[in-house]
Amino acid sequence: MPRVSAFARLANGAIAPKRVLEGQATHLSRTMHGMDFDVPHDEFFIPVALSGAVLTFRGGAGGEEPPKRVIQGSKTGLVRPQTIAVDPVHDEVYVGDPSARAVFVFHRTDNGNVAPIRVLQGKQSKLVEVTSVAVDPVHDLLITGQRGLTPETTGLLIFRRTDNGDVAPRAIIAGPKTRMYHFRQVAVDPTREKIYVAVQDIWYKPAAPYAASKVRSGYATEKNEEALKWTPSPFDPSTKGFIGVWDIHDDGNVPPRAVIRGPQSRLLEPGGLALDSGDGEVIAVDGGVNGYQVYLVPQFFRPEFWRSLANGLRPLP
Amino acid sequence: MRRKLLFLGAALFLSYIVASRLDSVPVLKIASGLAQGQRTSSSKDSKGGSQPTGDTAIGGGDIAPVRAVADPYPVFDGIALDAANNLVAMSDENRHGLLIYDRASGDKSEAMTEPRRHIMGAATEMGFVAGVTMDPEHHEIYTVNNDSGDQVTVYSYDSHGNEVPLRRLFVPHQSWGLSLALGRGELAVTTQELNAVGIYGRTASGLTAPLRVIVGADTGLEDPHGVVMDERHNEIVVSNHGNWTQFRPYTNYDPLNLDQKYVPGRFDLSSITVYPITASGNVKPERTIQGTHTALNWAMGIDVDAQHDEIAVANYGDDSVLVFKRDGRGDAAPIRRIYGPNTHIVGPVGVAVDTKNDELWVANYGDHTALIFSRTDSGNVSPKRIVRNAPAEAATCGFTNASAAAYDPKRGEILVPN
Repeated sequence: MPRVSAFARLANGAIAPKRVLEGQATHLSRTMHGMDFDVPHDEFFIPVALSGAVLTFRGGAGGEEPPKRVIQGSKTGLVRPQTIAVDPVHDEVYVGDPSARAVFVFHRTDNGNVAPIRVLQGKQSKLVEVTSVAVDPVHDLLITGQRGLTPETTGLLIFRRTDNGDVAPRAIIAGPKTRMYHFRQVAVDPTREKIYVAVQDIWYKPAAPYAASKVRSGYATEKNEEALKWTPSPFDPSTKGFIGVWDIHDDGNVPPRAVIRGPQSRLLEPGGLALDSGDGEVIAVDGGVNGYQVYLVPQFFRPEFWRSLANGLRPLP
Repeated sequence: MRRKLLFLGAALFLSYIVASRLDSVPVLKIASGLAQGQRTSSSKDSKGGSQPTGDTAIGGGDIAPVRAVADPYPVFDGIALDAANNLVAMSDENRHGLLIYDRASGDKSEAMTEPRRHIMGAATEMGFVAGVTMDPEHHEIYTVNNDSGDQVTVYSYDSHGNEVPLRRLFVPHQSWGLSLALGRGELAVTTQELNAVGIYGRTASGLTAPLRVIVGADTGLEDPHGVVMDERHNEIVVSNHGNWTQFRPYTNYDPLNLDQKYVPGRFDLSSITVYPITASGNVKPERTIQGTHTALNWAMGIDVDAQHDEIAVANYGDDSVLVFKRDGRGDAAPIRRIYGPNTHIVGPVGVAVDTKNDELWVANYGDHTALIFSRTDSGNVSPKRIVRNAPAEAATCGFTNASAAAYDPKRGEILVPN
């Protein structure tokens, strides 16, 4: 059901949200695979995949409250935006649109039928199925998560924040060692220079049986049966996703600097994540559990922790 | 009593699954390697980016959460009613199952209601299930994975527990509504992202192409959800949320089609659109109910009462059930509206009309109940009976395959979109 639920930070167990935003006037739709909160301006941003739009709500929005601003129309280029990040420092919004194979950049306060100020798109960019965007305003980086045609292009494509047009990424974190084969939301911690990724599955995602409303050409049932064998049910608990942490300076086929994963973590298929650096917590939204988990990892927000790891030392828990 | 114990047992087991961190599940060796620290790359690459040295350790590991929010109980979504066999089936998109109740189930107590059967488990291949339809002649129940699975799965009336489906039919991603036309031997399936209705043979299975598809700019289909094949009037009736955007393939397996003329997305009002039962391709609807007087607000599941010429709508966005004249069109107001605090309607997703017993069923997504009203009820009325899939005080978290989050430090809130 399309809705935005607000939970108290300390909520625990089977708890109802404090507040729910939903209904026709909100313009929300399904496939909200990204959202971002603009703390200085007390607003949050949501993409609307099924109406090609970007919505801005006040921070405490609830009920059937309409958005403060809507970016939609012929000048926008938006087709099916699925993910979003806001940069309150440079007053920009970054919108990942897999149907356009692009990242669109708008002014933070844009409203209505407006053209993007920059568009990252094209062969050089390697952008295909953009699953996530995050921005680091300190180091001027735009981090995009994407599923490419090969494992080598399925991972993080890191651009300069102001890149425009068909520009090659400055770094690509992808490959078998990353295990980033099926993943969604990305968050960046500019202070500690770290990128967090919600990895839903460590297996490469097979093609869907349909292309638009037609059965995919050359796609036989037997092939799909075979694909199902190597892609276990998403609700099979042996398919463990994880939260991975990389350095913003990483490049190539490199494993994460840190992970949260394993049976105690309860993580099955985390697709969403958010950082609460003030409380030293990582929040992971998990479609496999159909809920979310919060991890108290204050060490992740201390530079000395990452320095000691880089020196081969594993700090005691 | 035995079934009640079984149901309670299943709920407790689910609670345990969610709460116990799946301690007994072995970790994949591949995933294990991630935390064992196998970094062998050089420290600098040719582009000036850094890579960890061979000495680098991997931090973190198998860390238990300090808090977790999830709902251990089923949440009703789609609904189908078989008055001939006195059965009602409802899909559970939260814990991924189908619950089958006696038609006369429910009461006014706060006790949980015992289902006759509960189909759930990995073998069922149910994911985030939505629409449901029942076949009273062949004793089969159909449901569809709206997400995580892209298939219709079919079970027998006798199915129970972790059972393999009788057959499965692959359908496009984001398929939501189902309706059988037994006289025609056809199954209708709505698909949100394609703004389409696909018609398949009733027994189609595997990767079988649809017999015909209603799709295109003239159809008025906009984020379609509920569907009914009304064989008495030879019509297909569809409810729409009002979202529309051009479909362009977006997966990594599909090429970017830059030749396609760009048409921007738009927000329209919710609507009900009606087509000839044999419609195919880019056809205009015969009738459309849409406008501010309709009160339609994220119209979800629908049912057609062909006997009384009415359409019932689960009106999710304002916690109501609307009833329209079947031949209504334009900005028509509903002829009845069940709405208000006495109704206990909270986020209705499914609705089913029982003309044989003069009742109307509502599947609530917003709490753990289904409500049974008299068929002609209107206004702020109390339900005749309530079916509960959880204790009366159980909260509903309201997640549907959520895949994003944001943190609001000012309010100390975690925001989660579905």
